Amino acid sequence: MNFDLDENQELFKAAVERFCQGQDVAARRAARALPGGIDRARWKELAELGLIGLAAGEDDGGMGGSHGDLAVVAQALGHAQAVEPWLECGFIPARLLAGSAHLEGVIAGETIAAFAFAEPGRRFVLEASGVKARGGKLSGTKQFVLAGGAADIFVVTAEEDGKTALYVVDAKAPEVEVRPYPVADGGVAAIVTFHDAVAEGPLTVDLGAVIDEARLMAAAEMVGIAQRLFADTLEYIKTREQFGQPIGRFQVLQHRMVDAYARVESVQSAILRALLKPGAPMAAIKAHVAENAIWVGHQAVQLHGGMGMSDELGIGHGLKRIVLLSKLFGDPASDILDYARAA
Amino acid sequence: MDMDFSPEDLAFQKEVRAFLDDKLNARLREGAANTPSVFTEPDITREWQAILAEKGWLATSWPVEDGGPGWTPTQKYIFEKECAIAGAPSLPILGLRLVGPVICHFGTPEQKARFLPRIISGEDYWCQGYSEPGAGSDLAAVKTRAERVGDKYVVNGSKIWTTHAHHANWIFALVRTDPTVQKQRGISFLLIPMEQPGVSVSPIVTMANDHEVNATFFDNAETPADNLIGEEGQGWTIAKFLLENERGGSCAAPALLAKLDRIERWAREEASGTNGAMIHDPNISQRLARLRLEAQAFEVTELRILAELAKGRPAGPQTSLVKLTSSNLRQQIDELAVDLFGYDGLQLPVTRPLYGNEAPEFVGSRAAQLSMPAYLNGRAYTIFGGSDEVQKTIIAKQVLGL
Repeated sequence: MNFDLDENQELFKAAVERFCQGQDVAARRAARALPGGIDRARWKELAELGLIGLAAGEDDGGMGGSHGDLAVVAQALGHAQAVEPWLECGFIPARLLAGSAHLEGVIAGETIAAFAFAEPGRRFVLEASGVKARGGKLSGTKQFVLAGGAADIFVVTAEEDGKTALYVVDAKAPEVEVRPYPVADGGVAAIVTFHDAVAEGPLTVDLGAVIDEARLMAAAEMVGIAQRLFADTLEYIKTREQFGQPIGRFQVLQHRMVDAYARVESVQSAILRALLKPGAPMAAIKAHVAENAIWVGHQAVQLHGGMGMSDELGIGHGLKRIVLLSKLFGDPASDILDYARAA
Repeated sequence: MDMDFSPEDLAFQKEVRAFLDDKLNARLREGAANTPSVFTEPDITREWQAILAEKGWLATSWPVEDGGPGWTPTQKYIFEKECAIAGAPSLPILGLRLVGPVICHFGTPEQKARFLPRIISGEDYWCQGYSEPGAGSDLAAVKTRAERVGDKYVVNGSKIWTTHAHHANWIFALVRTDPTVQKQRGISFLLIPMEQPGVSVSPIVTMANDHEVNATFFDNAETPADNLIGEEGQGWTIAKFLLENERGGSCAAPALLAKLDRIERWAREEASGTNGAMIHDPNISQRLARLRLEAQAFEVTELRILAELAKGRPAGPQTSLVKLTSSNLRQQIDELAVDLFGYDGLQLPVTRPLYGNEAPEFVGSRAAQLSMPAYLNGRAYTIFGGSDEVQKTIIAKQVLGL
């Protein structure tokens, strides 16, 4: 039994930490303010570190990283509060585009691909119905397309012969209408409407398997953020003085931090279980991580007081990213209900 | 034992309902319904304030001789309840509910004559200078210095979380006039004009993307010595009066119940999932039911306080629970609203306001667009006006005798 990171995993973690060094609130805000909410130069840099290629198979020109390797990257990005949408535009497209000619550009950081899976009024349902594929063309509307305002291509779920198929569409095609809108984590999502847009596909990947992997990565990122918020809050209550002493001397805050510590350890263990136990239920584990990470996020804001509310601190940014990830491909309540029914 | 209003109070309720029905126009209703933050912007509140002032129903917590309507505690409760149910805009309470009653109680006849009419007319817009970077929960640690020089005070220092300071032309502040005595005793309550070179306001944008609060800086700012309320060193007593005055009667539950009614309507009409309307989702419907039960019980707690006040008796110790209960309930209700809307609940508009022609486009429904800003803004409920932790310590000491 051994829970240590291996040599490569230590290198990936260090690469992420170097990449994110100095990325403070001001730098993050500047990146978010760019068209589509993404700094393309930084994105290319991330790709050159091999962090996108890690998610693609060796046959496809990637590095064929294990789930463990990839979770280390996701967690480190969460801990560093990176604004780069590695999960949305790196990991997920690299998985979905296995065997596709578009993969090379995605791995190189030259093509920004966004996954269009959500449909208006259908909540977390993954089966496509509003967007239809007919004769190699797509029509219909997707929403909550994360990083949709910056995308060069969309990977789209579409109904074809009563099944859900995956197609690739050029985001700049005249038959594709993109309406960007801001979302909780500061990113730019989009409503995307296809008007008989020419599509390549269908892709042959197992969509359900990729969604489960994405849930694992979302959970790993939430663990990283929760650890960061916990560490920042611990530091803060040791230094913030009120009533003539550091507020960390007050027993009520000490106990609260112990509860937070217990939850942070629980979610770290949950991720390890997801990685090491074959067949672990990813959606349910993500739900467990999400509920605890949100609690830690709320406490981080509360214990920072007014400062925790301010956009000038990373505390709120962390909470907002957790809240967004907590609902990606299903929210905790629906995932736990599914898990209970399956058990 | 009964929970009924008297025939006179019921008649008053009817009058209030008719008034609100007549006066709350579409613009006011829209502005109030689509404000996700604690405070409503002046473009909405000024209009509503003028309507209430004309009727004489504005300064409800002031004595009659200073311009109050002379209502009983029950009438005040009924008015606030009906306003909440009707969806009336909130009012600029910093003048009307905070500094107003202080001036009524501690002010000289000159101060009353000078300031009170201008609060009612809306000519003066007030903000509050309490917290400082080093004095949050520990309010008595304020450092902002006011020195008497001739017939004026010269003020230096800074205040933080000054709500609507960017709209205000006056600030009431806790300032240190005597640094040599025990910390509570060196504090004074001073009124300072904002429109002068020595005062500057810098915005603090919150994680909800709204601009309600600011940092306010005093660099040799001046105010006539006549603008001291009470005496030097009396500031802490006045600050406590202000808080206790606020905690007198409360009417928070009706607004919470009205919000739950709205959420139920959204769950039936505006949010859907795999099984149709989200009201059929067991997680949503159970949370809605639990919150409703708690808010209904809380409503009775507030009525128990009201019953004591109506009999002329001091409010009971339940008063201490009001802020704690209402802020926690609010946060849970706001979380429910976010969860109701699935991915649509994750949109977070960057600009304000969310009403009128300038409102940004929404995804799904307008209610969905409001949910994330309200949830994030509402994380402050358990922080401002005495954090949950401070409230619990006070209750443990003063109510439970621990």
